[in-house]
Amino acid sequence: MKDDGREQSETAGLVRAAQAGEKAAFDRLVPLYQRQAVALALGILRNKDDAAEVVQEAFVKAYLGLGGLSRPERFRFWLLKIVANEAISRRRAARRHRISTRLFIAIRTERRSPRPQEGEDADELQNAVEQAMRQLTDKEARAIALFGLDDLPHEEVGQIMGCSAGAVRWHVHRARKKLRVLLKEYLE
Amino acid sequence: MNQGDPKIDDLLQRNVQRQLETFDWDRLSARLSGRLDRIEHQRLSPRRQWPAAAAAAIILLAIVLGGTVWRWEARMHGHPDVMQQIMAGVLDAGPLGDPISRTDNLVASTDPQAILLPQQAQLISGDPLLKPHSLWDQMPASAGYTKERPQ
Repeated sequence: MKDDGREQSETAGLVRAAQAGEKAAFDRLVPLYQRQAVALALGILRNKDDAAEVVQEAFVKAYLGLGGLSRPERFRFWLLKIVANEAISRRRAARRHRISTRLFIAIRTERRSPRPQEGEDADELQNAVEQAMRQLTDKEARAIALFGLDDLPHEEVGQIMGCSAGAVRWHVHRARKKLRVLLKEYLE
Repeated sequence: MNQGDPKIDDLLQRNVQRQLETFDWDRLSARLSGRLDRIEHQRLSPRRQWPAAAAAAIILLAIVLGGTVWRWEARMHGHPDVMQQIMAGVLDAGPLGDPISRTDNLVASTDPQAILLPQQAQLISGDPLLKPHSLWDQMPASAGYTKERPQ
């Protein structure tokens, strides 16, 4: 969703109404931003079920913390920050519980087959991307996922991540470099 | 540094788009609505409950106070014979300033000289109440028992 001036003012109006206790206003905000929230969660987690859980949790937190949002026109930015934080928390929790399997070893030793046909082994590609993303640091995963969103400038990505635009570019560069190696077979 | 890598970016973008296409939006909406409704219900519940709780507290307080007053009144007015007995006892005690006639019996002594002083109540050593009451204290020394605890 392109957050232009008109949409920003509409969003701000709905946020103010929701802050005043009008739940219906928040219910109207959800469909406006849920697609972008899910896209960001998917960008970090690469898993639909996890993304759905994260987005649900993020909207609940946003609803509960709406009173603390001093600039209603910044709702989208604020929500995306919550989504990104939730997704990273889930990533860390999953990492703690996961049996440690290094993707470098997994991909290079187990996957010797040629690149799968389009659509035929899409699940395999999906799995490979999901595992490759796990090899990135939290900052790299967050940066490349936010960078993947259509209309988010580096400065805003930096604000969400709590770092400079230059640092965002560095994390994106590092992430791409790692993914290029990990997903080499799928890029040829 | 950030020239971009079209292949990687395209791969990641396609991956997200593909998952978005098959994403279960209805399920997400239903779950989210359910959670938000529950939160809203919990938020409103205390507001609805506090007037009822306040009313219940007031009623309970009234019952307790009413019961206490009723019992007090019943004690004071419900049994006039008790009050009359108390008042009669006070009147029978005689006029104030003449306590001597009531203290004669207080002399607890077997000493005749003490009895001649009717205003004094004396306790003498022969009074059985002053004897040691502990069995240890009453035990004769010849019995060989001692109060000392064995080490």
